[in-house]
Formats: sequence, structure tokens, C-alpha cells
Amino acid sequence: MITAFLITWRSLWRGKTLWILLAAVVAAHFLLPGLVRSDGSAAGRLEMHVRVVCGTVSALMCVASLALACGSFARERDAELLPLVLVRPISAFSVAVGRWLALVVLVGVMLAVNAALVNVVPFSSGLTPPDCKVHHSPSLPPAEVAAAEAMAAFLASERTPEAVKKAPRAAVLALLTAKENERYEVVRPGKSISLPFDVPAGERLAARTRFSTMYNTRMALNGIFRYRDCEGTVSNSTQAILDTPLVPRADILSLTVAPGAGDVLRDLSLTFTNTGRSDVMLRPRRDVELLAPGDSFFANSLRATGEMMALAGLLAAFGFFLSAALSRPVALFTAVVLLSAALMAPDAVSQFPDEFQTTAGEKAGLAISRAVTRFTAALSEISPVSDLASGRAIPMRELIGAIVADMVAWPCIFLGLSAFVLRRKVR
Amino acid sequence: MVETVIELKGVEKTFRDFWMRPLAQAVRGLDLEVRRGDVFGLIGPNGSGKSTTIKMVLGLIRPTRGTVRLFGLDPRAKAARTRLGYLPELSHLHPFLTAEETVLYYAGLSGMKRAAARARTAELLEELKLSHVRRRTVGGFSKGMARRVAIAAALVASPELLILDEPTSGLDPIGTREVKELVGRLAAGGMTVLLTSHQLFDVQDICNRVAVVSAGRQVGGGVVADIVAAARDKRHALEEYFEERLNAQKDEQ
Ligand SMILES: Nc1ncnc2c1ncn2[C@@H]1O[C@H](COP(=O)(O)OP(=O)(O)O)[C@@H](O)[C@H]1O
Ligand SMILES: [Mg+2]
Repeated sequence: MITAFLITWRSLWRGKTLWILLAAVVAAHFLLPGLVRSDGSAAGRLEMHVRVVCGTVSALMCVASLALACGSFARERDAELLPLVLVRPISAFSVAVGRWLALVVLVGVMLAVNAALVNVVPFSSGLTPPDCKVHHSPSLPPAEVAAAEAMAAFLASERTPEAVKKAPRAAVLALLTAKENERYEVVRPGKSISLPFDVPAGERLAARTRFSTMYNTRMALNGIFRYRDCEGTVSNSTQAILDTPLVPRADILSLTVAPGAGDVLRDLSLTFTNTGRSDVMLRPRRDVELLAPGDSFFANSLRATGEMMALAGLLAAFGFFLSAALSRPVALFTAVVLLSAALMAPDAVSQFPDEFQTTAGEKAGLAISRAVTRFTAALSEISPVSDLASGRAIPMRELIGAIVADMVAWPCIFLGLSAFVLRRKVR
Repeated sequence: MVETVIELKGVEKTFRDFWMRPLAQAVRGLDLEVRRGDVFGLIGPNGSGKSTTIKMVLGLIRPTRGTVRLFGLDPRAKAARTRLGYLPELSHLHPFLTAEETVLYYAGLSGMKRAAARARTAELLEELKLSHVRRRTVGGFSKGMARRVAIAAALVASPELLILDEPTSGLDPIGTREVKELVGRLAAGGMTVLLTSHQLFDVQDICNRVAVVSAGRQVGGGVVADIVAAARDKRHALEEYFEERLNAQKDEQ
């Protein structure tokens, strides 16, 4: 394993790959920010800087690790070097693991350089790094549970036609789950909506509302958010993402000694009262979050680096598998096709949720997209670059989950398969 | 009792394409036995299935039919693989490694400890007259030098059995003589050797037993000393025997 590790490093070193990548990472930090425009504010500039630079570096690492892995075994097979490895008493699995580790360390070095630079370059002109925010979603039951309840009611209802009751249950459930995730609540002028949250008191919170741009509407939002003993007023008609700071309410403070104040404090709901003149439409599961103070930009950049590494590690392991099974050009081509499929599948699934209206061909396409999404769900759940740029504190649990899945479980599977295929593909 | 190192029984190999259609019948029923201390020559014209046979002995490919045993074990068993060294027909090497690193790399793949590997590598590079170029990358080596590096890599783990596929191909007469002398020295030291060649003159000098294959079938073989004794022209005894066996086979068909 160490032997396989060392030889891969030597080839990266002597083949200058290491230096080219390093130059690209450093160049990204100094050249790219000059090319993009932001809204001009310090926060906006920082967000664009991080997004563009880290996005480029992360994409570069993913492509590089996939491409290098795709070349690995395939090139050695073409050069007839593989038999020399396979006749040795070392197991093909440990060879694959050693090589994978070499690529992971390469990516790790590059991302460490990236993390160091992103903590220095944007702040070199006197700007202080902003702390990140912990995002809390409403503590609603999972969409699947709500969907199952809706389906039970639907089946029990006498008004539901018999034919509809016979529809495949899994399909109906998937449909209802998608609908539940996108469900809108309409808050009429003068009315309120309550959303349960599980956020401890005593922190400076902000309510974030985000309007979906899917329907291209930008609603005017006028109203009051209340959570525990804090409140904030919002009045805005332009921004798609709005953070409303919640500050302690003077009247509640005087109430803390009064009887009945406990009831107010125990109610862990965020209420929004619409004081505007038009309806406000909110998707409870998507559009409202509570932001609590998180730790430093630096700490968040380390977590983001860990997640970026997990992504590259997974792609490298997959690349090794392709490389073991296919020739280099075919492996690269397959990787590109599968990568685009993986990127498109979630959109395909969310845009065509209705299985009843599609033809057989579309059904098959949808089934494939579903399978791909299930496979890549773990991947699409993390977005380290966007989180770091927008200041969302990456939860430790999310990072650990990504590392366990993408750096341990999947690589073990892919590298095990590589070893198996390698032995079977000797010419 | 003589120990059997390699044993092939009724081995056949048919290469198939992706759709499992037969492409080539490389080996069509081969029985071989290589005993400890043998220097065994597998001789035959190009395309007669020698390399295919070697790959089956190494466990790189599976026979379509028949059994292959290496040290009495399945050729894919780790215990069998620790005891052999292999020189492939074409010595490709990692061009970015130096001679020393190449040999150390294969020592590492054989699970040798670092200190032992270093000592053994230095010893082998000395013996194969590569010491002066040990720090140069093998990408720029001549064919003969590359071949010697590959031989050093095959020998680094001190194997009991050495399998050489066309060890002298591409070498000049001096290189050929050096390889022959090396194999002679190794055999004198008790190593078992299986080699293939179509340069019969070399085989006659270093092998004690041979098998002649043609189109995947064994058409002759035996103890080299006996073949030489029966020949009219002692210097070209094996060549004479080889041609005679091939012609005999053609007549049968
Ligand atoms: N991987 C392969 N696929 C298809 N045919 C093969 C393959 N390897 C060898 N052959 C065929 O098997 C026969 C024997 O080849 P080989 O064992 O290399 O012969 P030799 O080493 O004696 O020259 C040849 O006809 C060759 O074309
Ligand atoms: Mg051959």
C-alpha cells in the first residue's frame, strides 16, 4: 500500500502534475476575483470572491482527481505494466487503496493551500472575516411522514374515486412528498403564520426568508417576525433573500416577572404577521430559516475543505474503478457522461414529478433519473463552496456524514470493485 | 523425491471477444511438468502459445480447460506468488522512475522490508552492471539496459522460481551472452527457471529440459543432453530436433 502510494506520488511529482495544479490554485486566488462583479458591498464582494475562487478550485480538484484516477490503471494496462503488479504477492485492493490515498493527499495539499489563501487574500485589505451563521429549519415532521398522512386521509375519503385509489402507492407517495416539500401557505394581510423551531434562547437570532425565483415573483414583504421574547420588523420589496434581525422586545422584558409570561417563553414558534397590503406566500419547508451565530470564517473554511476533499475522494475512487474496467479514453468519456447525468438528474426528478402523465419512454427516463438521484443524494446534500460563501455554518454532523460516506464507504466499494476487475482484465 | 514446481494438465485456452465468440485457440491441450532445479525451455514458433501458457502459470489468465498448479497451489494463491519472479516478454517500465527506484518499487510490492530491499537492490544492480546508472530515470535507457532493470526487478525478492518470457529478445549478442551467463549462475545456485524462446541456440546452452510447442500443442520435448547426444550436428542439435518435430507434426495433419 505504501509502495503504491509512493509511486503515484512520484509520478505526480515528476510528471509536474503537482506543480501545475498548485499554480492553478494560487492563480485562482489572485486572478479570478478581478474578473467577477459583485453588488459592491464588502459582504457581497467577499461572497463572490469565495464563491468563484473556491468553486473553481473545488471543480478543478474534482476533475483532476477523476481524470488522474481514470488514467491510472488504464494507462498501465496499455503499457503492459499491470501483470508485473498482479504477479506480486500484494493484493490488488491494497494497490488500489495506496493509489487512491496518494490522490487524496494530493487533493488535500491543494485544498489546504486553498484554505490558507481564502483566509488571507480577501481580508488583506483590512476587511475582517465575518462569523458564519448556523441555519435552523422549522422542526416539522419529515415530508415523507406528512405525505403518508395525506395519503391515508386520501384513501379513507369517500370522495376519492376508486380508480385513483388503485394507483401504485409508491408513485403516489413520491408525488405527495414532492408536493409537501413545495407546499405554500398564504398569509393574508393582517393574518399570522406560526412555524415550530427548536432553537435555544439567549442568542442573537435572525429570521431569513427566501423567495423562490422559480415563478419569477418578487413579493413585497411587510410584517413582523416574533420568536420567544424577540421580534423584528421587515419591509422590503426587492431582495430575494432577507435577513431580519430579531431583537429583545421591551414589553416582554417587563413581562418576565408578570404571571403568564412563561407561556410566551415556552412557545417555540416563529410567528410572522403580515402587515402589508398583499398576500404573502411562503413554503414552510423551504422559505423560512432561523439564523443563529456560528463560529469563525476560519473554522467554517476548514469544514468546507473537509467536504470538498470528500467530494474529490469519492470521484477519485470512482475514477479508479472506471480505469480498472475500461480503457483510458472510454473511462474518461464515461466519467464525463455520468457526471453530467448526476448533475442533471435531481432537476429532472423535481421538474417532472408526475408519473401519471408521461409516456413509457419518459417513465423510463424518470426511473433512471430517480435511481441516479438516490445514488447521488449524499453528494447533492453538501455544498461546501456555497455554504462558505454565504456564511452558512456547516454542521459537524454533515461533515462527518460526508467523510464517512465519500471517504470511507464508497471508496471501499469502488476500490474493491477495481481490484476485482483488474484481475479479470489481463490481456 | 523430486519436487514438482509447475504442473499443467490438459490445459486449453481459447481467447474470446466481448460477445464470447472464440477469437483464437492459443493453447490446445498441454501437459507440462517443471521440477525443482530445472532450467526448462518452452520453445516454439511465434504465436504458438508460449506467452499464453506462461500467463496461465502466473495466474494472470485462467485456462479454459485443465488445471495449472504452481508449487502445488492455485497460481493465484498469495503463497505461490511470493515464491516467483517474472520477466515479461516486453520490459515496460515506469519511465519516470530511476533504475534504483524501479527495483525498490517491485521489492515493496513483494512486501520486502525497506533495509533488506535497499541492500538487495544495490547487490542486484551491481551484479547486473547497472550501478553507474542507478540514479538515472529508466525512460532514457537502451533496450538492453531496460531489460536488465526488469531482470533485477524480477529477482529482487529472491524467488525460488524464475519465469522468463523471451529473455533475450531485443538484446545484442553481448547482452544475450550476459543473460545466458546470469541464468547459468542462478541455476547453479539452485533456482528453478522456466523460459521461452525461439532462439534455439541459446536454449540449448542453458536449458536442461525442453518442450516444443506448435499451434498450442506439444509436439516434442525431453532432456537436452539426450537430444544433443542423438543429433548429428552437435552445435545445432536443438535446431535440428525442433525442425524435425515441426515437420513431423505437419505430416500428421
Ligand atoms: N489477449 C488475446 N486475445 C486474443 N488472442 C490472443 C491473445 N493473446 C494471444 N492471442 C493469440 O494466441 C496465440 C498465441 O499467442 P502467444 O501465446 O502470445 O504466442 P507466443 O508467445 O508463442 O508467440 C496467437 O495466435 C495470438 O494471436
Ligand atoms: Mg510470446
